[in-house]
Amino acid sequence: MQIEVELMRGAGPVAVLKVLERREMYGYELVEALASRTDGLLRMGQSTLYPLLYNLEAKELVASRWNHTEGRPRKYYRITTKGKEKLAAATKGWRDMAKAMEALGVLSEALQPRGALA
Amino acid sequence: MTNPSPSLPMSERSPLCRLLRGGRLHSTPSAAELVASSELPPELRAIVLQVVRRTGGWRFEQADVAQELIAHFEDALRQPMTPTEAAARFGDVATAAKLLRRAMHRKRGLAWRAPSFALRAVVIAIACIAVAYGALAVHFYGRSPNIATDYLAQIRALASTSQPVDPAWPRYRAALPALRGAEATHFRGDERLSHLDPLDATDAGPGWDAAEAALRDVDAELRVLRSAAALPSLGVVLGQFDDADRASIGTTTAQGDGLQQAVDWIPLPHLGELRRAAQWLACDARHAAARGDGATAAKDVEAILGIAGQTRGEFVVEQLHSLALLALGSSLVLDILDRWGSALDADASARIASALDAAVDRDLRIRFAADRLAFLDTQQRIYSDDGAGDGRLLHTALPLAATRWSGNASGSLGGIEQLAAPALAITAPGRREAREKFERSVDAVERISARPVWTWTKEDVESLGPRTQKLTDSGTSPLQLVDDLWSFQWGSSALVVPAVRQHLDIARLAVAAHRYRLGRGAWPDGAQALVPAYLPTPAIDMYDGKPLRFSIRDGAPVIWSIGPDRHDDGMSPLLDQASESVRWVPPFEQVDRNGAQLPHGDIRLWPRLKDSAGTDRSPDRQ
Repeated sequence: MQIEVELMRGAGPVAVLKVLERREMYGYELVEALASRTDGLLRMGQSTLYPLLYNLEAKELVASRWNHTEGRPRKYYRITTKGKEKLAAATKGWRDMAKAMEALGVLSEALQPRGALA
Repeated sequence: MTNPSPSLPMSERSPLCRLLRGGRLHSTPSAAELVASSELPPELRAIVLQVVRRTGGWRFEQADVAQELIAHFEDALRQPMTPTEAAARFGDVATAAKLLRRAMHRKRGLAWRAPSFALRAVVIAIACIAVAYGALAVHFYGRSPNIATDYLAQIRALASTSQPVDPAWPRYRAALPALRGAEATHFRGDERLSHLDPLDATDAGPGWDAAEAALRDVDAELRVLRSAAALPSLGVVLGQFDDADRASIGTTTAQGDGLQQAVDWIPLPHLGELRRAAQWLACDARHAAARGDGATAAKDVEAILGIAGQTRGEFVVEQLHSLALLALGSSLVLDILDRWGSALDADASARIASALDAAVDRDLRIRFAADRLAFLDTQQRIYSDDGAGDGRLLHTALPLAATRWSGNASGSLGGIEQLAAPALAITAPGRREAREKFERSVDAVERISARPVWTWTKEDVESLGPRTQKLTDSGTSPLQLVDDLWSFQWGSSALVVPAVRQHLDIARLAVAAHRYRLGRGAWPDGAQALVPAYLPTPAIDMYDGKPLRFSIRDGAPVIWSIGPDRHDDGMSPLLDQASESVRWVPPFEQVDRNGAQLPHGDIRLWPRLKDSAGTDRSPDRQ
């Protein structure tokens, strides 16, 4: 099951920043990392990933460089200091959101095995 | 593959920036060249080209995206993955292109985005203005005035006199059509408005014969005018003209509705016709005097001054008409004395003297009692009412404006003017502000007018000005909604009073001297010899409040004033009355009405040695 579009719109940039927090990556690598680390839940449409990266770059949350050392050019993206600050703030926000959802029982119910609530 | 110089920030990679940095504008391969040189299968090449072209980005931006997408698909194919699968996972081309285009725009520098922001701001501003203007228009066109007070009744109450038993107006009404008929018969159509008006003709001027022929046709009507002028009251009720009244003044236009009444204030069309009747009497007086018939001339003078008394009312326009007739009568007397003085025997002179004395005893001051109520009535018809004395101009002002500005009797404005009206109305003074400005203006005129002119200060005169301050300075637009409704000229009306009073006193003094000479066979030595036998009260010099100067020069009398410089020069120099300076000008005035510098000196008021054209007269006073 993939995340709904509206939810992804808010989560996508945070997820990208989080993945880039470890190391710099090129586009396809990033797509694969997002999919594999979230069991496919955040398998982002590739047609939207590159605009997302361009937007993050415009906001100076990520920076890019072309690397020609691997035989063919690849554009690598890395998180900037400003991006890290943004990620920290977003992380806190998501945690607060998770707490709120937990308090409302949204998360606990969602984590119940199917049929437990029946 | 070629590096599309990715290390530069986007703002520094604009085509212009590249050019300025010494590079070629197209130093990098195009997206198409990059795709063509790639190893991608045709369907993926097509996707890359479609995406980059649809972005509409700059050449290097497209190359940048193409390079990245080529790398993306090459990575996908090495997974391994079929081209079809890679294309399917990539998603919708149009969405990708749209999002990339937006992202490109965000990445561009502020200088590139500024026009876009500015355009967006302008559009938003226009939208906001349109909404605000819509609200304004709804207020302007949607609301109705609150007409709560019958000001017309209050104005009628000001006159507060019961209808006279024998009002003069019906007699005038019967005589006026014949006067117009005589003009149509004997005068050319354009003469009435020209300086060659036969009614103003002298025995030396053009039109004299035509006027004489016309006078013969209206002899009966002139007798009616004289009899009507001897009655105490005119008997016209404001706003109650019937068809017979309208026919008598030569108009078929029905009296306007309340709004039109309110601003045209209040239909007083008879004033112009009565003034014309007075001009007929003046013409008759000159012709009679020229024939040696001083008695008829005296009766005509009495009639003119009588009409002046009848037409004086509570409106300033009535008062100004009355003052104009007093000026006409007094000038006529001086004219007769200058030209045909021998026609005035003792009886005729005494009648004229009596009429002039009665006129000068009247209260000549300017009063705005009716105009204040008229102003309030106009306001209640064209302003909204917030219940606290304030409000904004409403659409009901538009027909009025159309009539006033363009003479458009239908009372309609053009589409653009109507569209612009709400905006222009909002710039007009509010109800309270307009009223306060109006009241300040008329209060000042009344206050100054109530004092003798010789006590006026320079500041008083300046505050009157050629005309009092307009309410707004909104230029020359035909939609100066308030400005043109009340462009007060009442400041100058205060100046009319001393001017007319001066005319009357000159005539009184000249007639008194004439009577003295008739009785005693010689001119008096001075004005004091005339009081009180020939002059009940001294004639006053309006510039210092002292008696008008009277001297004998070369065996003939001279009446003179110290002039607007308010300095007695002892007749040296004595400026000729026929010069530009003869027209009465307010004290302290430095220039005449034509802007010419006024010479300093005393002013000869009578005899008038030259006419207005500068022609020598032949005084009949020796």
